[in-house]
Amino acid sequence: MIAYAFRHASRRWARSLLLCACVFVIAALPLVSRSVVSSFERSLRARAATAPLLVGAAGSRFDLVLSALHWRVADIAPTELSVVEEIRAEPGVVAIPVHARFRARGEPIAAVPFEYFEYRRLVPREGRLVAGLGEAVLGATTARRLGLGPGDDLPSDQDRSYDITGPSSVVLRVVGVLAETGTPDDAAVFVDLETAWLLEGIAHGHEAASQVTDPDKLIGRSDERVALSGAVVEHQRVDADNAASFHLHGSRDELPITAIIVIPGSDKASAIVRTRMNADPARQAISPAAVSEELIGSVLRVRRLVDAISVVVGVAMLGLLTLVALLTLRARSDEIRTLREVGASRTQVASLFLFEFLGLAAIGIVAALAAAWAAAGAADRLLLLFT
Amino acid sequence: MTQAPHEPAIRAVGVRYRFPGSERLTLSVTRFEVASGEHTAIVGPSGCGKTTLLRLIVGVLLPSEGTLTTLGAEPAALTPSSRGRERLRSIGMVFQDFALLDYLSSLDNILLTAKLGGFDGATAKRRANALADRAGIAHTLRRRPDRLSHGERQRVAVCRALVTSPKLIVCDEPTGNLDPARSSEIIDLVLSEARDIDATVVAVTHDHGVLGSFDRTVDLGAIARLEGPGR
Amino acid sequence: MTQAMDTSMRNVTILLALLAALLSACERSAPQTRAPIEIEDVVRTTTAPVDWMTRRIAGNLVPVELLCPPGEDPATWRPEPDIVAQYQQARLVIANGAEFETWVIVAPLPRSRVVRTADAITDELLVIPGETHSHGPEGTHTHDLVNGFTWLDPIHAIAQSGAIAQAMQRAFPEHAPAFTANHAELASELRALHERLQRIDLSEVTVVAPERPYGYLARRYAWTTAGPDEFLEESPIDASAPAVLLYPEAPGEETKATLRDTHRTRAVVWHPGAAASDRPYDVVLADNIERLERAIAEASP
Repeated sequence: MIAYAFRHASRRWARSLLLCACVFVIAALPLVSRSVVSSFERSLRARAATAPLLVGAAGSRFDLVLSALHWRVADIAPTELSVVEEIRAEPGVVAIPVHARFRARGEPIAAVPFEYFEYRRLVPREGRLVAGLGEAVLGATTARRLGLGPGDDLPSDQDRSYDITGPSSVVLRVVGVLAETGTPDDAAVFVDLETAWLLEGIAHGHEAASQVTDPDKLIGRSDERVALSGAVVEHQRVDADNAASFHLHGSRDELPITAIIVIPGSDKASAIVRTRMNADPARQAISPAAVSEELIGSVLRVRRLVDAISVVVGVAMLGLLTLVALLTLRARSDEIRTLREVGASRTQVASLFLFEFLGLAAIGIVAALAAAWAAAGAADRLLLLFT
Repeated sequence: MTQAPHEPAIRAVGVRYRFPGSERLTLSVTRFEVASGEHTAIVGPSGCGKTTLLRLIVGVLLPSEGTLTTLGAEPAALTPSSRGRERLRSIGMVFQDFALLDYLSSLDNILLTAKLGGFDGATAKRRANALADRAGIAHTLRRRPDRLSHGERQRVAVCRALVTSPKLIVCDEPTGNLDPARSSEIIDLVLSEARDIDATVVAVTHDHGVLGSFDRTVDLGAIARLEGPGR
Repeated sequence: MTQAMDTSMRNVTILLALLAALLSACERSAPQTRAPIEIEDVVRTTTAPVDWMTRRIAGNLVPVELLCPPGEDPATWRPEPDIVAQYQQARLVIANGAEFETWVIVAPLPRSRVVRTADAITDELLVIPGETHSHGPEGTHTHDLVNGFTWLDPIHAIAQSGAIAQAMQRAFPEHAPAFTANHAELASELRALHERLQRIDLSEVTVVAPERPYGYLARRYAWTTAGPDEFLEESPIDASAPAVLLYPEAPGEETKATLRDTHRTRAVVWHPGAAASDRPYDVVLADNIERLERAIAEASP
């Protein structure tokens, strides 16, 4: 009977496809939305649980959480590096500055201090961790997506293509690939904070100003100052020859970061840091857990909408399914009569139809599951896009 | 259905049939018998109940009155499912419109009743191939009905009726719209195969050219008394 | 037939529910058993002076390693990635700071475990104004040069060692009392050397020292700052007074003779002692002082 059912299904392939599609749509909408949302929820909660407190510039708290914990590149107002020391002054408090403003070939560049690797227990699967300026370690997913490994070059994306005075792209040198973690850290390009400042144009390497003689590079020279042309000064890449020429501009205290992950160690320390940080109107100290719940709430609202839509679509699809089934029954009434007349039992005839329907439904459901599975994998990406 | 020796394969006594909910008699037969192994042709004007008689014989319909015994058993005394089982096991049928399943190959169509009846697959397949060979349709076994000629389809339908080596073969207008030469080929095929397996044949036909091949011809119009309007 | 359809629909529903449960059961689970980066209970240093101070404070309680190899100038040294990794994994990294070690400025070190000892004397740092130049988005800027030889002044060295002691006490609280005692001892030795330097009589002899590296010493003990070229060409401050001129490394015999004969000036070697050597920094320092004392005694009329 199964063979007959299969023959019939393949003979009427268009109708079979329509049935599969109906079942797929009925199953896929709720499955995909659920798997995406639950994967997102899990990711948000798990990540928030690791960071009791987040400090950053006053502004969107969602941006702050998504940027510092999920590596969503956002235009966040910078916080000064000195704030880190201010927070660390409180005994027992761990403060880890992060900087996420740039991308390399579309992947977020996560600029972090060495402590970040310790805190997240990130270890290299291949190569080593960052040990110098201009070096990058790739998250597992990013390495796969970009097809890069130790020894490869990865140019940063230029964020101001039309501004010739802006910092130019820097070629990062991939020195390692991190072991997979199942967290947003898999999808980032890790560099040192100093490298982020290099990308910002605050740290750079160039020929010593006093040694510039090329008239194309020299705009003017007086006893006190030398004006250099912006177009020609900066090295595109840090290597052994020019590493020594890289330097930071301005005070180290004023260097920009986008957020500080704070692990207070005690409720008292947490309260002190929060109070102190929130006292400055230019700053905010937030609890990622609370903000994540807010985010989850809004995502759940979206899911409820999707659910409502899936019910409507599902009912329509069920209607279509029923229509197709009834038309099929009508079209096959002669066949049913023949089968009954030659002596086929009611069960035999019914199973012929049932097997076919179940087979097609199974294909639709498997396809829906595959879609849900794929969507769960891309959930972080998808929702970072939507939120 | 176990049949006592010398007992007729089919016996109908005072059989009347009217469609459910209808007062009008569709068929009324006082007495009709077919001996075991006998090849009987049934003729008669259209509307005289030829097809109804065949359906009563195979147990698809049950008589409203009277007794009808097929292969020694009374279909009316059996449950619907055992009637179906008996049909699959002991009766081969050739339908007026062949009733082939368009999504199955010729071979699968031939094997349909064998599979439904739970016959041994390998044996059935051997028999199907042999039948197809004799019917001259061996080359069409992998084709689906829509790619067969009218005559080929008819032969497939005949092979399907014969594949289980039934005790009774019932044919409803098996020659359809065929030309006389082809009609007798089909009838010869059915009757010679039936002789080989010692099967009883009851065939409804309006093709008077083939009647000579049968042992006996029954004019249903003459033996059936029908009532009601138009008759 | 409708009964059969109903059955199949019910089956589909059950199947759906089952598969949904399955899906949530085999969620993408993150590998949680990752070994963290191993932090070693060792203190790693970047220059010989801070290495010496750290060892004195640590006693034999905590291992101390200076990774900059002997003969390598810690100011311009560029450690290989595996050396950087060793620094990254140390419980504490003790650096001089004040931008002395250029690699430390931009190296990806765990800042929370790096002690830039010169941060203890931020207000006293000597800055050599650099060239002003402009390029890039932030316009005119100057790369000022900080004199990184902070430890040459024993008083600064005391402050720097204080920063080391504090960091060590935080990192190894179990040894805090020992560290305090060790530091007190170290500080008193340094203070003694400071007092010895203070006692040098400058009434008859001028001590001339180049701004780099001796700026801090010169400021502390009211020495005259001038480079050798400056000194030789523009003549000394008081040509009539005998002087000693400090050199980080011994100058050539010719230079010595010229100084002695035409300028009544003696060349004295004062090793900054930044690079690793087989002599601990306090010995280097004591020798420096002794050489200076001897030279002044000889130069005095």
